Amino acid sequence: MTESALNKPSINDTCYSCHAEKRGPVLWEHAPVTENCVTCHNPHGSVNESMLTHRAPQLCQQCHADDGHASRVVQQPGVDAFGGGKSCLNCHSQIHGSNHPAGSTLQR
Amino acid sequence: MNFKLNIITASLLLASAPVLSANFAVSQANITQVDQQNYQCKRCEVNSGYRGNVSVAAGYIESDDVHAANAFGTDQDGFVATANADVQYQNADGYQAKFQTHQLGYENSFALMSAGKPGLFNIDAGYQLITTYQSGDAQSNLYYDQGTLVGSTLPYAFELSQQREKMALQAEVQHDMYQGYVQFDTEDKSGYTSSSVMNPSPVNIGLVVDSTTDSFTAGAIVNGANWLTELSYFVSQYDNNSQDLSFTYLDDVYAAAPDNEAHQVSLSGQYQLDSTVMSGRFIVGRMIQDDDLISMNGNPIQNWDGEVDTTDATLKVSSMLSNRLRVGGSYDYSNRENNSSVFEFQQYTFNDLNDTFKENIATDIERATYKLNAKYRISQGYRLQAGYDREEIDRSYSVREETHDDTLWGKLSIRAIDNVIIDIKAEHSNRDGSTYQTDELTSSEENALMRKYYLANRTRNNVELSINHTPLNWLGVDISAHYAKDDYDDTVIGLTESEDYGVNLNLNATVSKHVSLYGFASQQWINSAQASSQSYSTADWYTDVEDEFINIGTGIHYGGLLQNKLTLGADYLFSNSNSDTYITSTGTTPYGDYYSYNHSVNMYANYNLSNEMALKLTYRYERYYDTDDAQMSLDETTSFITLGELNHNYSAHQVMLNFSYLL
Ligand code: HEC
Ligand code: HEC
Ligand code: HEC
Ligand code: HEC
Repeated sequence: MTESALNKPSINDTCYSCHAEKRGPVLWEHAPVTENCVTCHNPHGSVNESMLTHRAPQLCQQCHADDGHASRVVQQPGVDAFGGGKSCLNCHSQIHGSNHPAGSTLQR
Repeated sequence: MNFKLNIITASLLLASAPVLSANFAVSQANITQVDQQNYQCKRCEVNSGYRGNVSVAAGYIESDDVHAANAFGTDQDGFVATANADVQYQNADGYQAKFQTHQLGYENSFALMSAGKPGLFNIDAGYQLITTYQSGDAQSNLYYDQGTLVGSTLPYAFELSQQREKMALQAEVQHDMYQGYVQFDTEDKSGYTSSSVMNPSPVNIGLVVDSTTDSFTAGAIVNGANWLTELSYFVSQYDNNSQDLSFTYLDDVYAAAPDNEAHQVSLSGQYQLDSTVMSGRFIVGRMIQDDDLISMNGNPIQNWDGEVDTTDATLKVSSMLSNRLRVGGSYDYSNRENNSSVFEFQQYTFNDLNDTFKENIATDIERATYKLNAKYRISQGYRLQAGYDREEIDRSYSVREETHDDTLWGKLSIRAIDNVIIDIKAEHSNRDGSTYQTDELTSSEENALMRKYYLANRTRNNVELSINHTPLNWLGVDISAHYAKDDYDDTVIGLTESEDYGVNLNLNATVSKHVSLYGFASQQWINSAQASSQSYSTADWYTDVEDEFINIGTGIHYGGLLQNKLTLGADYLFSNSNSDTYITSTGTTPYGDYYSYNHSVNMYANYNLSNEMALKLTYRYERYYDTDDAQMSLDETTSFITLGELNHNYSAHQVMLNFSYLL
């Protein structure tokens, strides 16, 4: 076996080799996840859990500014479901995509 | 040409990096490097018979937080025992065997066996356990009854940890210019990870992880004096044994990750003509997911025909034009074509199914990367490298379908000063792309000023400097620094800038024949700024995030004591990570505490009882603290249910006595 065979063609393929559950495809993909895992994860390490470049809600708000709750000010982290616990992921837990027929907003 | 690499050992080496950085980033510098030495080819040694060493260790661990197991390798508390072996056998005919174990009996351990004759055949078998611990004290009042979450009045405590148990088998045969290999591995993953469901307000849960991933690779290689070609096939199958989740009164609140499979056929080759090396690879792949879908109102199908076809190609050329100049170039192409069917599915508004129907989106992504580079030896001791890279990405159904990044970089290596190596690297890159469009398939409610950072125009500047100085033959000093800045000048809403800079200092001293010392210190900062709009127009509030890491370590190794029988040593490591977030709307308010620190101490004494036998006494201390103001206890809010505060604050000790025997 040569190095070339071990060397996966893309970053995502490398990640899939140990995180096959993220490979899908799934019905409702989260676009940046399909495109590149390191858009949100910094493999060199970070202060955040899951090696996230930023944690929620900041991470999500760098890409979402919908009318309504996605762009609301989250003042203190430990107050409500927007800043406390898993923040946006309290409700949008299927952040890598959902295979639920009614899962388009990554909530189930 | 030597391309050989054993996949099992390679995957272990690979695995060590993400795993160790997997637990809170503060332990980064604690990475106990997998000893590369152990994986090196020992075939050139001709001595026959057994070589290597075996050891048994027993000791005591005192810890009241399972998180310490990330450092100690086992979550056992109290008396512990483990065995290690690294034995090689070789006979006069050249047959070899190898057996290696690491921390057998621990939750992080491996065993490897290998037998064969170089140039003829080789068989490898491996077993590996990787366990990572997040918290031993998560709280929930939901029990699993198959796929149903059943509430109880009192919360119970459970452990958030995940374990992977992997077995691998590999066989290789070689004959003249032909080589063939097969490799199979199977990995079971189990445990609990944190997740959340809507009930209809959010409830954090310990999500059951119970899955198996099998993969198989087979390939053939033919090589000549100056060429090599390889054909291989890879298949991987993921089976999730955990179920979709429901409450007794609310169905299907969570869809488990579906089973999936992936196939790849790869053809690659290398060719060398005089001073020009060419290599190429062509891979076609297919990813399939056709698991049963949850059946419900508004779902027109029983199972989806999720299918993605991939094509990847690489071509690389590198040529030595003169004894001073080497030029190279490469082209990479990658295409992900999502051929899955598209249907309309009824969606929920909050928790009622309503008349909103939505189509799933099958995104295609196409990438092309071009690279050109040259390496020029200016004079003895000065080498200049420069290059230009361009990456183009096209993705369908996006607000910006095409983006391209152009990068110019240069690197100067100076070896002209005695005992000093200086490397300077600079990089400038620019991203631009097609005009933004509002796509009916993407969220219609998105603020039109939003520029998602992975699509946005971006200027990146990056400089790195590293100096290795050996002022005395017993003293080494390494200094390095980097500064990188990303500017998103055209972004009104979204990430507007980020910078990442840091310094490292490393000292190594061999003070005498028996005493060596080291010390290092590093600090890194990552800052970013983003703008948001609560009024759904221009930016009206801002967030600044300032992250910081510090790592400091020092150690001494003192050998040659008691007539060369005794070695003493100690290592100390301190790591700290801190993150500050500031929200500016009417005024500026900081978030609460979010930081962690870790002190690690390791002291050992090794005593050689004889030439073959040694006793080693080791003491390890781990002090770990982390706090995150976002963590909430169960009774802190009524608006949703958490898993409790998952912060850590502990001191843990480990004492081990190790007896080793050199064969
Ligand atoms: C949009 C940002 C984003 C992208 C892109 C992304 N992730 Fe994640 N990932 C997250 C977040 C947020 C979490 C934390 C989840 C949590 O705390 O429940 C996470 C957690 C994880 C975890 C740990 C928890 C788990 O689910 O096992 C893994 C592993 C992971 N991601 C792998 C990947 C891989 C592989 C990819 C690429 C296919 C990827 N991620 C792409 C945001 C992302
Ligand atoms: C050689 C195997 C391997 C590869 C390749 C790999 N990982 Fe992991 N990763 C692991 C293991 C083991 C863990 C520990 C948790 C577990 O068992 O899932 C982990 C954990 C994680 C976590 C969770 C960390 C946490 O703090 O909880 C994230 C996020 C993650 N990986 C992302 C990635 C991404 C992104 C890639 C591709 C760039 C990747 N991994 C490639 C083996 C791997
Ligand atoms: C790197 C950019 C990026 C990041 C980071 C990101 N997303 Fe997304 N997200 C997207 C894109 C692109 C889409 C596709 C729809 C669109 O274009 O708005 C999407 C879609 C979604 C949707 C479905 C929207 C719909 O209209 O149905 C949800 C929900 C969502 N993201 C939540 C999150 C959450 C929560 C986070 C933080 C953990 C997050 N996203 C982080 C880029 C991102
Ligand atoms: C309390 C639960 C909850 C939290 C917390 C939450 N969301 Fe949502 N989110 C929802 C629901 C419910 C919907 C679906 C709204 C609808 O269908 O009208 C939604 C929809 C979305 C969408 C799709 C576009 C839209 O507006 O319909 C995006 C994007 C999104 N959320 C992002 C976020 C981000 C970013 C955060 C964190 C700042 C967040 N959400 C936090 C419940 C939540």
